[in-house]
Amino acid sequence: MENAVLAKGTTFQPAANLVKIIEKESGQPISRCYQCKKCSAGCPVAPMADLHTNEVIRLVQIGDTERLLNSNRIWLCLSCKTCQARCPNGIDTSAVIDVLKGMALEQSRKPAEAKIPAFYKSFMDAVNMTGRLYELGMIGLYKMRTKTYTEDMGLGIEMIKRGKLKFLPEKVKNLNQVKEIFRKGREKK
Amino acid sequence: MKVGYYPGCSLHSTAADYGLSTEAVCRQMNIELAEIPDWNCCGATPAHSTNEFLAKALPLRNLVLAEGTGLDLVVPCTGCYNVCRQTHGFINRGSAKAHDVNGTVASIVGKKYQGQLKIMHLLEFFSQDEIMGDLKTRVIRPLTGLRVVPYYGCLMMRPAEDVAFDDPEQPQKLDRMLETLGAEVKPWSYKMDCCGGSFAIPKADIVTDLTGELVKQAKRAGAEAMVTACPLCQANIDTRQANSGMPILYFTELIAAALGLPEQNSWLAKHISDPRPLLKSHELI
Ligand code: SF4
Ligand code: SF4
Repeated sequence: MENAVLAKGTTFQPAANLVKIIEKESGQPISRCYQCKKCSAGCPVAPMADLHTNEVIRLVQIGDTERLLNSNRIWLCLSCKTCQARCPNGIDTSAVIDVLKGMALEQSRKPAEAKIPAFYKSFMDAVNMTGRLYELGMIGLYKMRTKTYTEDMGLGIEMIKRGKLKFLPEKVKNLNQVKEIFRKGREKK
Repeated sequence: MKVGYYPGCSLHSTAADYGLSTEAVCRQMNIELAEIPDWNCCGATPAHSTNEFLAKALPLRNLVLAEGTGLDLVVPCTGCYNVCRQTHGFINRGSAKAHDVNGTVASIVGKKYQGQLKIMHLLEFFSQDEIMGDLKTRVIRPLTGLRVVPYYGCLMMRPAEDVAFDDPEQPQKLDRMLETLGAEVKPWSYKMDCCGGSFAIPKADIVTDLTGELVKQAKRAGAEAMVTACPLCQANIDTRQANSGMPILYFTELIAAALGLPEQNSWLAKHISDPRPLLKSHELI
C-alpha cells in the first residue's frame, strides 16, 4: 500500500493494536482526533520536524509503528505542551510522543536525532550519581557520548567565570534513596 | 512569614543570579525561605522523555520531604514547579499507576505522599494580594521608563489543569508585577512561546532560531529587556541570542532594583548579556 504519509519504499504493516497500547500507556484519547491540526499550527518545531503533530496522531491511529519510531519528530518534541493546550479533544500529543520515545529506546533503534537521547541519558546518569544535577559532570558524559568536545567551549568558560558552572557536585545525603528509585526505574521500564 | 523552598539544581548553578536575588528580596521582605531538607533533582524533561516511573518518583520524594515540613512549598524554577504540580495532580487523581508509584516511593523514603501540599510558583507566591501590597509600600526606586516585555515561557501554565495559576493563554501576573514596580510593560504576542530550553545543549541550532525570533519580537514591541520567572528560559535566551545584546532579567532582579537593594552587582554580574548598562542608564543601580 502506498500513500502520502508512508516513507518511500516501505510496505505498510499496520499494527492493529498500536492505538490501544498507546492510549493506555499515555492516557490520551487518541481515537477522538478529527485532524483539525490545531496542534500542528502552534508547534514550535513544526518547520524542522519530518512529521506534523497531527500526523503523529494519525499514524498511531493507523498503526504505522515504523514511520513513527524512525522519525526525527519524536526526538524534536520540546514538551512545551502547546499542542495539549490547543487540542479541542483533550489530546496531549507530547505525552503520546513520550511513549513513542520510550518504545524507540526499548527497541534500541538508531534515533533520527542521536544527540537528544544522548543528552537525556547523560543528564539522568549524572542525577543518578549525586542525586542533584552536576552540570559539568553531565556535560562531560554528553561530550564523550557524542564526541562534541569543542562545541560551546567558549560559552562554558564564560559560565565558569561567572560561577554558573560549579567544579564540585552537590550530593544528596540519603543518596541511597535516590539510587534505589533509579534501580526501581530500571525494573519497571 | 515562613515557607518551604525548593530551589532546584539550577538556582545553585546556572541560575545563581535568580537564587541570590530571590533570597535577598525575601530577606528584605521578612519572608523566611526554609529549604526542603535533602531535596533531589526533579528529573525535568530528560526523565519524562525516557522513563515514566522516574518522571514521577523523583519529584515525589521531594513532595514527601516537603509535606513533612508542614509548610507551603514555593518553587522558583518553572521546570521544577511544573513537574511538582503534575506529580501532585497525578497522585491525587488516584490511578492504579499513581498508587503503585506512591507505594514504591514510600517503601524507599518511609512515608507516602498525602497529596495535601500547597505548591506555588515563586511568581504566584509574590502575586498574592498581601505580598503585592507590602511590595508596593517598599518600592523606593520605581522602574519608571524601563520598557520591558514579560516572558512567561511554555511550562508555567501548561498543562492548565495541573499547573496554571493564571490564564493559560493570556497570563497577566508578571505584567501586573512589573507594572507595580513602575516599569512600562509592552504588549506582545510571544509571552507563552517556547524558547527551546530543553535543547540548549543538544540542538543549539533549533534553539538559536527560537530565541532569535523571541528577541526580535521583543525589540519590535519596543522593549529594552525581557523579564522572566524561569531559569531555563533565562539561561537559554541569555546564552543563545547571537550577540543581540538584549538583557534577560529575572523578575526578582527587578524587584531588588525597585527596592534599592545594595548588593545587586553580585547577581547582575553573572549575566552573559550584561544588564547593568541598561539599569544604569535608568539610574536604577
Ligand atoms: S488538535 Fe487534537 S483533534 Fe486536532 S489534529 Fe491535533 S490531536 Fe487531532
Ligand atoms: S509539546 Fe512537542 S509536539 Fe506539542 S507543541 Fe510542543 S514541541 Fe510541538
